[in-house]
Amino acid sequence: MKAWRRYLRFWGPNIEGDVQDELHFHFEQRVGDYMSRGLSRADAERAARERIGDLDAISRDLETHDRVRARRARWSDTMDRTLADLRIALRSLARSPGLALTTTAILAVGIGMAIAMSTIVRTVLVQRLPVQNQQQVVVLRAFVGNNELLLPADDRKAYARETRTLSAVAGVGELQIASPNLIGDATYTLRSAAVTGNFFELLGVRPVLGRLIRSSDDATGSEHATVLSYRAWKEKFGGDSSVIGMHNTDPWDPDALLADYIIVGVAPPGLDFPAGVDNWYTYVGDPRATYFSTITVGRLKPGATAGAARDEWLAFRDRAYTQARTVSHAGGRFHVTRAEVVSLVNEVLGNSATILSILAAAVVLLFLIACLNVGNLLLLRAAGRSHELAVRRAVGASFGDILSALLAEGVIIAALGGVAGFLAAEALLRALVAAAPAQLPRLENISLAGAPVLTAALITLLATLLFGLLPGLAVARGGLAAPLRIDTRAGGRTRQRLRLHQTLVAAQTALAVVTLAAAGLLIHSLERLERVNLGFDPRHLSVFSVTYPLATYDSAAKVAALGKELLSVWRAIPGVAALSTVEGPPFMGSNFAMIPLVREGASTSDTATLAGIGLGGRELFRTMGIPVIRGRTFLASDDEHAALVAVVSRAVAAELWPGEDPIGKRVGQLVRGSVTWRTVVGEVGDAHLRALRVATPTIYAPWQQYFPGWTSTVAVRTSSDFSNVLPLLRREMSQVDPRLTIWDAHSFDELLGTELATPRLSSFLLGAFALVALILAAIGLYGVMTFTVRQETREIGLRMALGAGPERVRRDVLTRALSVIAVGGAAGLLGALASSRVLAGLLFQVQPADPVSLGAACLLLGLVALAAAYLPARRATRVDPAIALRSE
Amino acid sequence: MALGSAELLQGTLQILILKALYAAPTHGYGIARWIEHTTDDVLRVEEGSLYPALRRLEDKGYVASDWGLSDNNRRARYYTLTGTGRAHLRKEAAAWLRFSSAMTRVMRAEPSLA
Repeated sequence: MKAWRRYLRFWGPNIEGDVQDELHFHFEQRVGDYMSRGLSRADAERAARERIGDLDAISRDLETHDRVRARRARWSDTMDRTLADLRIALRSLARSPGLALTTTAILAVGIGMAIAMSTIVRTVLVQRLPVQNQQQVVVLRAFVGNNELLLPADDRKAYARETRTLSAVAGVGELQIASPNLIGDATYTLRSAAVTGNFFELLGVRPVLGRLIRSSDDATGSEHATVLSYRAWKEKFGGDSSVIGMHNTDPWDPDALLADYIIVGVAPPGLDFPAGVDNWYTYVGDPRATYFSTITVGRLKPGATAGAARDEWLAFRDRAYTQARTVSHAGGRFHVTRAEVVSLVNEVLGNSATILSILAAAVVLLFLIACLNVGNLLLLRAAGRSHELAVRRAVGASFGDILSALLAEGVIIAALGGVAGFLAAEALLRALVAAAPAQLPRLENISLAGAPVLTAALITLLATLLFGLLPGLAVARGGLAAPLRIDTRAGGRTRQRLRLHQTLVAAQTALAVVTLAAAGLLIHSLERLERVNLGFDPRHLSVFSVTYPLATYDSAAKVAALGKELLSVWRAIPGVAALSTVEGPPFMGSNFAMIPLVREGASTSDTATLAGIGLGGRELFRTMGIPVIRGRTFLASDDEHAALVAVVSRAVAAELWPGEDPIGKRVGQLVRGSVTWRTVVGEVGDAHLRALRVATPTIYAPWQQYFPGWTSTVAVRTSSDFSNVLPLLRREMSQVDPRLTIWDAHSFDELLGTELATPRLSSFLLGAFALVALILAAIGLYGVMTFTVRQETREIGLRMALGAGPERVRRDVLTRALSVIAVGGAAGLLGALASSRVLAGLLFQVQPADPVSLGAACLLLGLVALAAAYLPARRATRVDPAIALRSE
Repeated sequence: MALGSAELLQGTLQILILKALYAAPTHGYGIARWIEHTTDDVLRVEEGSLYPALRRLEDKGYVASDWGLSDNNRRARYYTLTGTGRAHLRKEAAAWLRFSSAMTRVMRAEPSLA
């Protein structure tokens, strides 16, 4: 045998060498045979070669065969070993079911939340809109102060001609209040938005069914087309395709009486713009088409930036408004102060993007805490088993054997955690979707599939490596004999390992503080929001609308007369404390129906004021509970025949007549190029009626003096529960006309609940995450302290035998725990301060560095940590010195 | 009559190998030598068939191999008949004997060949 073959054999089976050896031996034997028959060596070799034939071909065959066989053997060997490892790991885990259960539960929480949140984030944030080149599509806004100015139709046409940054400009009307629509024989409550004919063309959207609205629909005389949103089609029409071609009549449209629309198609899912829209329609051959103001949507030209578009847009809007002022000949300069150009994606995702990113970040933190925790638990367990592992190594188990055994445990724990986490994710997702507020866009698309499952698999794999290898490396790396020595507890290695545990606990603490601080800020902000002084009294206050047959009430005068009659019969109902016509439901957004105001005698250099318009009758302020500051409220005599009057809110008065009494002053409303002058008769407080977070400066006018007809929305203050009064309202109304109906009736408790749903949900979720994080951190600390105390049983016993009191010992243990917590807490506080800026946009009257929230987070963590450390500390002092000294 | 590898049916070679190992374990050359010797060189085993056949028998579990030292103190791979190999041989041998005696009877039947 050649010497080099021995080296080959050194690394396991040497297939080539063995085959060569076997055939060479055969050849030699054959040669020997021939030689024993009298042939010379040379002749014998020649004869043998002839006899055997192509020796190389044979050896090639055999080598191939042996290689395949060796591969197969190696594979089955590995399988056997893996299975054996898994079996052993299962048995060893079954011996400590507490650990298995704890780790599975921790992982289930971490992985479950990670999957659920990544699913939601992916659906809501990452998935694309059904829009071509969506990054080119922008929404353009202009503001005067904080109030948005919509774009009048004439200006939109002018801008479409002028713009050099946009290739197309379309308009979308603000979402209208939900109103009943007659479709076929049934009534559906739909929230509609008017669009210009080119809206869908600009977006490049394809219909799911039928066709979408197109530019030619703007032409006078074409059919009145309306398109359903995918969600409305699914939820309200059950995805029935026969809805195409049906007529949609809007019985409550004071401007477009008897408008008749035809449903021409269904838009693709995910196109939720304006948010919550049920159907889009065009104003065709309608007087409104010439003046209706819209939110502006544009498509950037290739190469044009949003910044360039914004500058162009701001210049255009400011010039257009200056012109509008000149036309009106009313004093007051009117400046567009700010312009925004944001991508449609941001617009559709809106605030939920921030909330979801924060929740996703919280989930990542929680998952990290869960990983650190499980890792630490396994590390502690491995440390407790260092003796066993050392024995196994000493009797011949290789480093790899120990590692694969530990890895097997990690795999089982990770697999259990992964499966439990997947189940938890499904439950969590269902709960989240059920609890989610309606404003969370595109929720109809959420399903647990594809990428999240991959994410879960990846996470589980990561967890496996982390939990299996980290403890494995920490323990198996240790010297062979070290743990076998009796006096292990004196060794520096233990101290090193302890430092690792403490670092892990400190890291968990830091992450928990970050989560707690974020939750604290949101909860504090929610509390402020819930206790905000609304400027009106929401208790026992409700609002509802009335529909009437348009065929009978076919003139503004008849509608107005109906309104007056209904108000008078309702006022007589016992239980109705006060009621008034209002302009529409509350919380429509702060930019709903804003009108520019000028004061009498203003110079042309004065800036005009934007204010919301509020309508009402003589009991308006008593009904709403808005305090009257001075002057009077409306009287029954302030009707369409009387002189025009107005009541202004404090902010309007302060802006138009700073430091003066507004009573008796005249104020002009600029509407479509003309000015209407009103005399101010009263001043009232500012109210948060249009948006929960801000008070809108408002000018109030008697409803009969604002437009002919009746808004048909009524606010009512009741002396008992609204649900008791509603049937009485209906009964009295049917006496007037049995065909009238009340719809969209809500108490302010409900309306506020809807408004607060998103902040409540995010506070609740983040609070839940923070709580779980806190518990996990406490478990981590408890585990490490228990371990430390057990390691030091002997030392403690010695100290107590030498006279140290239990208090002293307890204090030492607690001090050590607190030092770990303090380090982690301080790091966490820094992290919280650095990261809370992200939250700023969500906070209400709370600073990102709010000392109350951050302090509360630290205090809570400190208390829980103290409790977690106290139990092991107490146990330490219960040690009988005699037993402790003999321990191990 | 010399049987080449082409003529020697694969199944037949396997039975021959198993029978060669029936008495005692031996190496590949020993197997070939025994068959040649026993049949007075009527059956000659080609190396190109013998070793692959041994591998197949090994895969089936009829024989096992191990490295050992030969009579002349050289490293050689020794093949041993396993329990299942032994059982298989018995079954196959019985079938062979029945077949060959049947063949013999047919060949000896009148009118005789010659």
